[in-house]
Amino acid sequence: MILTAIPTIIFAYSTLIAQEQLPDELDLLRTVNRKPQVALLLDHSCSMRNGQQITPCVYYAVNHNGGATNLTLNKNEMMKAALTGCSSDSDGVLDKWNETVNFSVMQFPTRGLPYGVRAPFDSQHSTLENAVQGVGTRGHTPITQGLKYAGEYFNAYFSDSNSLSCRPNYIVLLSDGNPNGGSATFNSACDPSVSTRTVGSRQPWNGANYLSNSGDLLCSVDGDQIIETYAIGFGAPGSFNESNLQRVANEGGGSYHYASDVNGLDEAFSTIIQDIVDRSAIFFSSPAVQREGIFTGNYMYVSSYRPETDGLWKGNLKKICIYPRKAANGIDYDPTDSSCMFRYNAAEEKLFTNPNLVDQWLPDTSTTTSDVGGAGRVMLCGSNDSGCSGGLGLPNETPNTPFRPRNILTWRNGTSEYVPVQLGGADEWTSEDAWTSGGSHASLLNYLHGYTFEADPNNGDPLTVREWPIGDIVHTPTTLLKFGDCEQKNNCWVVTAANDGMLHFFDSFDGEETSALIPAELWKPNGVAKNTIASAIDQPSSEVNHRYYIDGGARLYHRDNDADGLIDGDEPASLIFGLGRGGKAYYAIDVAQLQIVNGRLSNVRTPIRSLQWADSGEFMELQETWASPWVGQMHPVNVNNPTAAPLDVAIFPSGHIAEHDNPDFSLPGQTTDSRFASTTSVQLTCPQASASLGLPPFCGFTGSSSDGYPDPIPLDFTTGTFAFENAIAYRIRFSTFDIDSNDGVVIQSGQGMAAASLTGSGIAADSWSGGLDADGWSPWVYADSLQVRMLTDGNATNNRGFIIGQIEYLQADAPPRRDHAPTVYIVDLEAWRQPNNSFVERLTNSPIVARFTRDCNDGQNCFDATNVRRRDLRHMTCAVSAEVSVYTVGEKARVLYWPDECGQIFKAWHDGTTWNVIRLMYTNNTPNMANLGQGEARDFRKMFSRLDLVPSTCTGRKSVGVYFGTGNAQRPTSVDELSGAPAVTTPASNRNIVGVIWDDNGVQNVDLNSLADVSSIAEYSPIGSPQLGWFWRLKNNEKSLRRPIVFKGTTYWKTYQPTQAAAECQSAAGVDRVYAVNNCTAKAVIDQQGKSDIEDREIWRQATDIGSELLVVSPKDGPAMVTHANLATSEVADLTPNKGVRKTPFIYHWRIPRED
Amino acid sequence: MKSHTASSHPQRGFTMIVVIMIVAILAVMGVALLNLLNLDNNLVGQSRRGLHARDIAMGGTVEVINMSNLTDVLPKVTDPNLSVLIQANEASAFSVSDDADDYQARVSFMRVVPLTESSQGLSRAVVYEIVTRSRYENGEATSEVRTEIYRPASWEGQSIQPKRHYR
Repeated sequence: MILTAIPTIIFAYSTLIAQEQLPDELDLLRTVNRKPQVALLLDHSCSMRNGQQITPCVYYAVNHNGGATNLTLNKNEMMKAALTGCSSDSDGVLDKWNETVNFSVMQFPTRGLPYGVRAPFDSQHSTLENAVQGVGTRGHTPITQGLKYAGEYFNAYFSDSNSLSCRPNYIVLLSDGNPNGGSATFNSACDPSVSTRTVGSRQPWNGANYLSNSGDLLCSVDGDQIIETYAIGFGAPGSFNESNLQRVANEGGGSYHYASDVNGLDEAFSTIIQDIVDRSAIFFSSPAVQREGIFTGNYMYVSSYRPETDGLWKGNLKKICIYPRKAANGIDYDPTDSSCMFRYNAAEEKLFTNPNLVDQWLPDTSTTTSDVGGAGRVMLCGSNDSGCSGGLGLPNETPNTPFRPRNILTWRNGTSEYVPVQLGGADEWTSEDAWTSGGSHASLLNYLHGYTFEADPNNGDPLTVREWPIGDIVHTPTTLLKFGDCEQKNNCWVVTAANDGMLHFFDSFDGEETSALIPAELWKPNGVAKNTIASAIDQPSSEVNHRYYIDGGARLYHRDNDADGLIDGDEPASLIFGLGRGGKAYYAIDVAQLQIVNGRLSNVRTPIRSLQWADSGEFMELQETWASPWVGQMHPVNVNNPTAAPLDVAIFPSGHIAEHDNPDFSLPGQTTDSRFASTTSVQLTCPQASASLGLPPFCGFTGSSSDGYPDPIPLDFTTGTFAFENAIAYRIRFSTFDIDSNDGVVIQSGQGMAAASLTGSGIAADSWSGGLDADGWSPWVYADSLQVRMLTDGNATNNRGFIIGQIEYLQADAPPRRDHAPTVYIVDLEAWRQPNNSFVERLTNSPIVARFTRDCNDGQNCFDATNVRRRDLRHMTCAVSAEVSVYTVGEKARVLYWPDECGQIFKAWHDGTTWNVIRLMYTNNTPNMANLGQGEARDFRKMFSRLDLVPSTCTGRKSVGVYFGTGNAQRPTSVDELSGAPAVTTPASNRNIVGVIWDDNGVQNVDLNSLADVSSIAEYSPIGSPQLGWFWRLKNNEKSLRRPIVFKGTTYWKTYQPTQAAAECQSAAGVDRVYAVNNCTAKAVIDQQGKSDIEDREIWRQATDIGSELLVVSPKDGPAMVTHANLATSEVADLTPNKGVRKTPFIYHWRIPRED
Repeated sequence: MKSHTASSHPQRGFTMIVVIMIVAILAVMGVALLNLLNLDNNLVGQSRRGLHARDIAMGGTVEVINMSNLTDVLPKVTDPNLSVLIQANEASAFSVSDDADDYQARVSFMRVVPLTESSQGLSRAVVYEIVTRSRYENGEATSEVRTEIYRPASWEGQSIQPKRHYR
């Protein structure tokens, strides 16, 4: 048997490559692999026709050797089977690696075949396979000459036009014998000073040495390119001298592999193509700042993530102190304290960021690296970390017992209770619940609990602890639930969500996870979740989009009746979070009584309520729920009636539409609803199914009419892979099923996840497996592809074998395309939190106070463009993903502002009679957005960031300053945007902008001509100006991707400018900048010597991969400041340290003294 | 027969009475004038003490505002009465002569308000009242100054709190 083990990674690749590719913010971190250029140098000597063996290559036998019974292959045929498919159509080396390796097929020099090339580099897959099938068996084994011509072929073929300097070049030599044939002169080095080398026919390693040690061999490709040689020998042990090939590999810079150990070959390939992205910690999401009353306390809970080339990204949460301890004088900070987020530089009298901060949960770890310390390490080894006796166990080691100690919960909609994600027990989370196929069910549950994706076949127990147990926390902000002193156990919980599909609750005292919750919608295809959790093991690779599960905004709703900053059991408190890029739902968990249940979610005390997309009704416009909801109070009907009891409300937009990220998409445009909303069953006969997919008609495995099926040696082969478009589940019905009780048939997904293991006449062979039902149907395989795998013991019997009669699959129906009507929702929190809404898929009572959209389909409290007071809603045709900004009066919501993804700003308010909605401003040349198709998505200025609202008198009259920035968050590295009509035909031309518009209630529907362009003006005078605000043009391709902040008269913008797109040979790179200007005049707030006033606006520059939002910290005993919070390097923390921020309070009002 | 008229004696007595009265009036006037002068002296002194007391109160207020550790001692919303009392310390320029002159300031948490030219979603001003009472010359004169001060604070993610004026 030549090819048996096939690394899971290959399956993952094949699955993921089929994923839909749309732009995403994390494309920034995508490092495309260097594509190796590999010449397969194949032995075609006459000895290759020897060495017949019975092989398991049923697929090869059926398709290339005259039938399933002809399993005996010679070495040449085994080589072909190994390369093009042995047991299935997808297990050949060319099948597995063609996407990631540029192959050519060569043989030893042959007359009429220049260089011996049978298929050149850059050939199609079929061309490569045909070339392999054409390799004959005649002649000698002239390895020396083969290496020479292979080296020369590289030089002849490649140039700068079809290669890159970073691509590695390899010869993979496959041979069965000792070298002979003729000698050769190696003289292809580009450097003429390199000596020519004549190599004898029996010392080919000298040729391999020449290729790897003579400097540049690809003279037309930039840089120095060498060619390294790997060798694979196959054949019976002792039939050839392995030392020859070993020496070829050693001298050639490669490694030697024996053919029967294909794993070694795969490992070699893996070593070549893996290019690990080494970014140890990236901070995107907002931290949770522990508060002391109104001010910032001295602890912060910071989440970060680490991208990986393959597999689950790693995430972590750490507790850090913010400020160093006070010095002996009680005034300054102690400069020797380097354990906190900031450290004090006594010489400069400034706070600096500190990359070596100490994890407060595990003080031995002093690094920001995502997979060291923090809650992840506590989960692995317990809070004391001593000997790793607590928790899951050491990474990559045998797990601690008891297994699966974590309290991971989920729920079934309509059942009113949380269900533990566990195997066994009365309320087991079954494979049907988990949408997993039987054999992989235990593996999936183990994986979710923090183990590797495998299980003991006897009892489902985990076998190995995963390298890191927490998934990446990318966008979800961290929330602190404070019930008392957070330095005591069971008083505070830090909550965050990760793309491992869980909402994690960590005790803030020691970092121990007390609960983890997987939303019910993440398990099955249902139109709400973007990915099912079973696909978590496939995520992500460097070549495809990151898979998100819970990634949306989060906010705590807490009515603090006694204003003590603590959640008391009788105060309403809910944690609201969205799936974000992971789906179309918000959830609210009652957390007021979380302390009573010690942080362990409880059916009665901490129920959950969802609010999710449906294919009709008032939430049908809900899309990816990126935004954190605004949570606060408003008067219910008449905002001018101060005596009316206020409502507690959540305000959020309908969200983002990934389809609209396609740069070619025409905006405004239609949208496609979730494709998993409904399914259709399709039944085909196996020959029909094979034909429709272009597969060989391989639908059974039987013997002749009088004999049983062939079983000369242990066999392991598959039929399929059946993969129909939009299929989500499969099952099959056998027309014949008669298997030896010692053999087995496994019905599995294309990724190898088994749903059934059958033997005999359809009897389940393993405890996890279902059998054939009365009609002969197999259990369902919950996957997008299907295989039937057969394993035999090598002892033939009279059993007839199997024939697949029918294949049935569930096909997700193609969703209709329709006009999207972006919506802003105002939801009554108390109505949403009603008990009858707990654990249900659909709310039993509508919590909507108001919703604003251009076209109300149905539902109540909907306000659309049909009313003259809301006519501008007809322009709201682009997705709204940014958080809604709310202007409050007396801490009650008064006016709502929100931006959309076409660069427009809308405003809504209630005038005492009804709701008014206007378009405040548009930044593209799009006066009428009611019509579809105004331009390509790439050519619109977009707003993804929350607007910042400022009570202002900059203009000399009372107004609301609306600060904004434009930039496409989903294409941060793009350099092809804003060149079309929507953006170009404006005063800002082809650039993104940042700026402000002052709204004095007289502004409506203005464009950039109404604002002053201060790009070349150092200072603008707003008083008396006819302009309504100002903006400036950012640099070429620069984008504002984080929210602006206005603090104490200074406006801060953080931007990202790509300098290098992610491409082969290079990671994406860019510059992060922060600008700080006077919020009224746009004048730089810091005079930097040697710069012009306009250049002075830029106050900070770094490379942080966009990084986190700017952070305002206001400790009770220190100065408030705005910081970049960049923990990658040590630098001045305060963005405007020279501006003279004072420690002492400002004098607000000095009253006339009176005398006694 | 020789007779005497009685009218001459009464006339002399009257004159005397008049003189005495004039003298008395003058004496009273003198006393009054002296009293008036004394009163004016007192008033001038008290006024001077009052001014001193007011200066101490105002100076004390500035001292409190400029205390290097003021931010440490500002009252929390959980402090009793939402206020703290600050006494003039020994190093104070306004506390002299064995506490013959001194002040004390009560700093009270007042309210949280929007901060002009700052993000309404991210910031608030926390307002405190400082009531500084001063003594001069062991209480010969006192004064009081009321001042409001504010500190900018990050407000993101804050809970919904009852609208409350803390005084």
